[in-house]
Amino acid sequence: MQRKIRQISSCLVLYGLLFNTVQGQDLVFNKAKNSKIAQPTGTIQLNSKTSNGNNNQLAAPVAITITGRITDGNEGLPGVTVLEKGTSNGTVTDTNGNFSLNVNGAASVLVVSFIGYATQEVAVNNRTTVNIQLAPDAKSLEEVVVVGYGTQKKENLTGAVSTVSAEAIQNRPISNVATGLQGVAPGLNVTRTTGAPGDEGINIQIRGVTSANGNVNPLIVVDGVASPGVTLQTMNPNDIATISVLKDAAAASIYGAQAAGGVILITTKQGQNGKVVFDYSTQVGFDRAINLPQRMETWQEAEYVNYAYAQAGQGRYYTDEEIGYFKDKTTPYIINPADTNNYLYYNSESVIDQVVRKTTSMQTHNLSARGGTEKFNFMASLGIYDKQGMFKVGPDKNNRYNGRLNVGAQLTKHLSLDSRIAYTLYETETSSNSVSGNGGALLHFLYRNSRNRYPTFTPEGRYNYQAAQTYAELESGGYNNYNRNFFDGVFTLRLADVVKGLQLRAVYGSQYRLGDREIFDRTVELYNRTGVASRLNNPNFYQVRNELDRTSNLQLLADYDFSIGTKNSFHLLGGYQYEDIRGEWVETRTSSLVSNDLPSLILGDDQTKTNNQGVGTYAFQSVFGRFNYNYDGKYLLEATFRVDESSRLAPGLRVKVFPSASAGWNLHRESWFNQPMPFFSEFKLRGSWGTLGNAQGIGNYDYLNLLTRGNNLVLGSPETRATYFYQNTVPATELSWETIETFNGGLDLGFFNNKLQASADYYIKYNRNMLTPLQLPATFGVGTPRINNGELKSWGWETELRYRNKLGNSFNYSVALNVSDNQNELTKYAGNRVIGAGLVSLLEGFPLNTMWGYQTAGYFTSADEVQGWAFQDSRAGVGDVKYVDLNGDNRINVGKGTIDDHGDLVFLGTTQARYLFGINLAMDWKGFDLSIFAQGVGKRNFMPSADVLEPLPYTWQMPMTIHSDYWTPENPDALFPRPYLGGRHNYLAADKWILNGKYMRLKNIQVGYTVPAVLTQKVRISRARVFFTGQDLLTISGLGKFQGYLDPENQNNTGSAYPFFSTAALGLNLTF
Amino acid sequence: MKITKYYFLYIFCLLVSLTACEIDRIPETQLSDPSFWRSESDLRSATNYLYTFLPDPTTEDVWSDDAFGTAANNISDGSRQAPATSSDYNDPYRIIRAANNIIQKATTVPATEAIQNRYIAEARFFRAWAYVQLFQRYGNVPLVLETLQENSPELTAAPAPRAEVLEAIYQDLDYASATIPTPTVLGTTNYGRISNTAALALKARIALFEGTRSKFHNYGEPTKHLTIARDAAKAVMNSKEHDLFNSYFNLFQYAGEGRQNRENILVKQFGINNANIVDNHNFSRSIETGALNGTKSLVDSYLMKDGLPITKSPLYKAPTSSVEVYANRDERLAATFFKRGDPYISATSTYTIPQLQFHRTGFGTRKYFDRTDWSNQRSFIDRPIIRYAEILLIYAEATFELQGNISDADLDLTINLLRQRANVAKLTNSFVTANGLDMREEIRRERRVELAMEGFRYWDLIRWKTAETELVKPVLGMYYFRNEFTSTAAVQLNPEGYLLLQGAQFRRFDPSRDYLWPLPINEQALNPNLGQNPNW
Repeated sequence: MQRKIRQISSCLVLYGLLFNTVQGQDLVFNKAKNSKIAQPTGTIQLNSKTSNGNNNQLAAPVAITITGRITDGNEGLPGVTVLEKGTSNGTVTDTNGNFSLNVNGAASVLVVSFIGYATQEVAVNNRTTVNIQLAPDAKSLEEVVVVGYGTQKKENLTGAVSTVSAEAIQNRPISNVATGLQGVAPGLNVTRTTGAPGDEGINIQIRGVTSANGNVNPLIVVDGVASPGVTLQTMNPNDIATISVLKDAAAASIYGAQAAGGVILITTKQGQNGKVVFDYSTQVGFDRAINLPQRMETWQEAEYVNYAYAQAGQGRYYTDEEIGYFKDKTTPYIINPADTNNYLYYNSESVIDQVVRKTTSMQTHNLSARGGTEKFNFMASLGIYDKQGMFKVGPDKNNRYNGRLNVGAQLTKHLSLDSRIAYTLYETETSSNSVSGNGGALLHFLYRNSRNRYPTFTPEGRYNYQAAQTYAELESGGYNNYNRNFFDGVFTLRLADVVKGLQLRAVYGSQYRLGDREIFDRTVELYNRTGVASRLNNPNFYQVRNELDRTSNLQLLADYDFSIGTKNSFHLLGGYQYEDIRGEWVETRTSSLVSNDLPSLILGDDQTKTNNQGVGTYAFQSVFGRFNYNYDGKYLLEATFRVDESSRLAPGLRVKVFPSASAGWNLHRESWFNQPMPFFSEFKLRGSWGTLGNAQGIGNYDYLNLLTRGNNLVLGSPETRATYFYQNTVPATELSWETIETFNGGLDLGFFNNKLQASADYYIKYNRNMLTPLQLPATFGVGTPRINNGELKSWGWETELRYRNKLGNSFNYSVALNVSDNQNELTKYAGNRVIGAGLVSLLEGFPLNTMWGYQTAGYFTSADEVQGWAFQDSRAGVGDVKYVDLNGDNRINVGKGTIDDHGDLVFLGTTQARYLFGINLAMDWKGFDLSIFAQGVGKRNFMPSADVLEPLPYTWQMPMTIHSDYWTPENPDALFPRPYLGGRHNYLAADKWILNGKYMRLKNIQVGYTVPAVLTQKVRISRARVFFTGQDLLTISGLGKFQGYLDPENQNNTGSAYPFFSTAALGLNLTF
Repeated sequence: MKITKYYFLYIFCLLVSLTACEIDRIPETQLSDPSFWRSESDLRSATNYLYTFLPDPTTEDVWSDDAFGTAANNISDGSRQAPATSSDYNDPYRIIRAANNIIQKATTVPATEAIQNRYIAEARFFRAWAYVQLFQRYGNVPLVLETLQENSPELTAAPAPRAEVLEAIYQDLDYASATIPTPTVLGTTNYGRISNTAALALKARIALFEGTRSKFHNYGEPTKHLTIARDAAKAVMNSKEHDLFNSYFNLFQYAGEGRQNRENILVKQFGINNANIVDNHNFSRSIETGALNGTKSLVDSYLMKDGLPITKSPLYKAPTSSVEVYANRDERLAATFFKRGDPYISATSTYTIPQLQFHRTGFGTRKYFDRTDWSNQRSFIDRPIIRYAEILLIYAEATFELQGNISDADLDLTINLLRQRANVAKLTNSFVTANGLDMREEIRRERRVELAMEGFRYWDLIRWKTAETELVKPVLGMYYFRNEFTSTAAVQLNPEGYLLLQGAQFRRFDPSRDYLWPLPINEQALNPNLGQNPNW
């Protein structure tokens, strides 16, 4: 520990030293400037804080001072850059839009530019007052793009980068940023597994799969500092100014070993010059669980069960008398004459409705203040989001509280400090039992694992021991509360223009993230007629877990811009980064608590008290650089390198270099191109190559021979707990990062002054040294390490199309569409050629996650047909699924279970989502606005688990409404085969059970009205907008008859998952 | 210009010096192997790992003609295929590696040689245990007696012949039985650990397996192995360390746990209790939902109290209700299967008629059932893996197969002790003659009944070479008592009115193939010299 403190402090000393040195050089640089070593460059620093004072040095003998006001035709625009053409002499407008600039002569030309407006060139023409009206320019909205460790003009980008504007995720009742990103950028695939508040199982992939070793998450970078993936769920969507998605190696390889899954760069909002502006926005709405499966009426269930028992050659389960009670619904229960301790129940109410609400509520409120002066600006925001889950009783909610303070300060003429501090409190409350999933989860009890005849409560109002335990667990079975407190800060010290074109930055980012989880598994007594019949959660237990994740990120960055001549522009970036990550947790638990109502560690049985601890640490240090060359805006070249060193690899093998190179050609800047084809406002070709690293599947200390400890062993008389140690896996001494080589080709087009824009990219990724398990015969006897020996190829394309225009003076509209596709092939994976029926995740020569199963040919319609058919199961009978005997051996089987002999199995596609798309329509007219955003997947297959499909796999697992559509001679094209108790033979992996997961979802619809400013200004409100916003209101899917039972977003092998929500909310935006 | 140059130089130097930041990180909550193996306690902790591989209560009898689960078993009906991978093959080698590692490193641990040898002997017991599992199933298997490296040539070696594997097992067990203390020396504190009698008992078990297997399949040295079996069993008997427990039923209940039950030779312990859960199984629930139900074939093999089979005993009357099946029978029948009136699943309920969707044969297994465990969904009843009764049966069978006969004295030392506990008339040579019985059949019957539902039957059929006649028969259950089973819908019955679980047409046993198990396909790919057992 002491040693580490020394290391960190030595780093900090060096960091301080650098700055002292740089500050010490201040005067020297001024001298340098006076000697006119620095030449004007052709590029403009946007939002540059160039002060008028600088201009004195450049003033020519015939200098004149120009003053003026820049407006949008209505109000003065603050912060507009005004530049004397051909020089670096310029200024920005003040809060009222006024400026004053000394120019070189009466013939000078002013270049006026501002984000969101078309750049104008205005000749001075001997005037001293020049008022200019700027026209909005749709294209320039995206003019500057945040890229790794800096920004780049969109026009000069050579890599594949998508940007997402703040508008795309604001004013939507989304539960977090990640779900808001679904469908907004091509190549970005966001999936979720459940709708449970705060626990949605979100997974983000950029450009499909990168490795066969699990999902490679994108690197999330917030304000320049890497942040854990959970940040996309915990940060306030309203704080976001821009999001850039770096997709190819050219864009991402500056992040080296961590960037194989792509990079998502998030920039938060900053303060601005001008008076303090307050924004308040709110949404209050209702959620409704969608695709909530329905259960049969009790009498239907009973008849179904009897029929299925009969088909399986077993006696009836329900008597006719009982079914009579179910039907007439007048006798909810009787006392069991054979056993007076028990009732016989004839409940006919829906057990799902007893637990699940029709609608639930959500709300979000956001307040922010922005403002500042030239020397100081700030942005402060507070946000609250809370969502109540669908259960009527018990813990089921998610609250999020966000606070942020971003401050920018100009400390000296050259030195500025930018500080961004965020606090998040993220709370989830859920049951102590798992909610989603097959088996013991609460929803499975509710949907399947209880007979409808049993009501939740006994006539005495106590929990019925025979009923689904969901209600009792939720209401009285304790809780699992997880509170996370995140303190994140990014501090950037910037030294600019001491030497013209040189900018130095020191960035320190720190995350201090505390989590505490309390689980109380409370014993619940369940009753029969006379007393306690059984208990849930027996013995009770109470568990407390504290987590602390700390990261430190130190970056030293130098940017240098220079030009040779007027046409050759260069940019150099050099940087060093040190990252230290440490996660710790401490857990303690006690059970058999004396009190069932006062969970406390003090009150547990002393024998059962256990404690546990985990610490995981790793560190990275990296040196990186980027070189940009731009010839007259026509030819663009970029090269990057990054050298990463990581603690996770064996000493001696820790360093690796990740290079990339890219080029672009702006054809529309060539006169031979744009003169014959003036309608092209943009025509750019891009190409890139590079390598990226992936550390997925490498643990913190895999190169060491570690022992695992276990203590679930009983020995002795009397019995006592014994501990043991063992080696789980032999160490992986030669482990290294997977290196992904990426090729990307792209095209950006703009037509008619960029009213219509299009872009397209094609890429190929090769993971050439993918980690594969070292395959040794089982006689080796212990887990084997991974080696860098596999190969995965992944390829795809992305397109994006936008059209914006206006009709008349006041009707603006826009249409945007993005589509992307990705495919892959596992070209080499340790010779893995074994297949079985179902999902095969790794199979050499095939894509990842292929599905294999039997081909079906309808249902058996006669006993003769069963006899004559290939043998499939001794239970096979009329109404069962017919599997096709493809290899003619008269048996339905998997052969030897290899690619070479797979019996009757056929390839049934992959679970890969393809043709992801997003469509956005927006229009506004005289204060009214409407936007419609739809998102979907064009092709995807998935296979629910057999337990989900099969109506009555076990005597206790009940069929649901969807299962009523079964085979009878009168219903030969039924969805399901004949009912059969324990009829798994009908639910083998087969083409019949591969579901089509394509869908289009109306992700968001927004209708708003902005009250005319003349009215609102009377109450000192500059803008007021009321709106309706709806999320996930409508879904069209390829699920066919399974729609409503399953959701197209469900993942493979899904079962009893917490449903997704559809949300309708009213909202208000106020600016004052 | 010069100044700018210096400036960059400064930055460059700084960057270079900063790269000296230390990025080494060490695990803070895990031990590494080099820092282990420093004391006797480390050695014991390493050996304890092997105990985690001792098996839970088993449903393996569904492989045989004794039991049927809720669906047909593919080993029993001959429909299985060679698996891609199998824990039957992989897990024993995990034990073997861990054991080899202990054998190798124990000598470096600073402790007396006696202590080192003690744990080496436990490790060798477990190594033998693992090879027993492999040997029974696969016959010839790769013999690994050292810790392998990633590039060891042994990984792709051809399997060792079964005789060689068995020799290695004998050697390990001989070392173990000579080195490990007796149960008495182990006492209560070390109860649960391997004792010298456990090593002898395992040796007797595997020697009987190979002795009879080679005898009936006509290969090898039957006499040698049968002699080893008999002598090892006798050594356990002579040690006076063990004795039969007073209650057969309680052998599989909490009452039969611990050192006070001298019948226990090797147990897998579960515990400690519901308030302090360390390790548990859920067998009460498994058997309630029908994982292991007795067949008619097994139930019919239980004798009447007079020592005669149901086909010969005057005591036998065809039952007219499910409970009458148990009348005047060997008491082990009622201790093994549920009958009307037995305590059942909740605190108040008793067993009535079999729920045929679970207890599909009508004979729900009762061994290991505890109603409190059922309602807790968690059971801590220990599993006896080797118990003294088996030793007596090994002695009787080995003696008989060696000599072709067995004396009344030897019967009194063995089988009659078991019959006495089950309240069945004695077995004598004259009784056999008088009633036209067959001594071998009676010895085998005793074994079948005594060890029912404990996972022995399948291997007995294999070694007696009777699997080809027994496993192809239809699987039947209880007589379908129409007055009792109220349902009117069809259940499958055979012509005599017994529950039919699987017809003979669905059952196969290929004698040229099924006496050995298929090696996993993946393993053949990884080791081309492994080969495959015949006809798989």
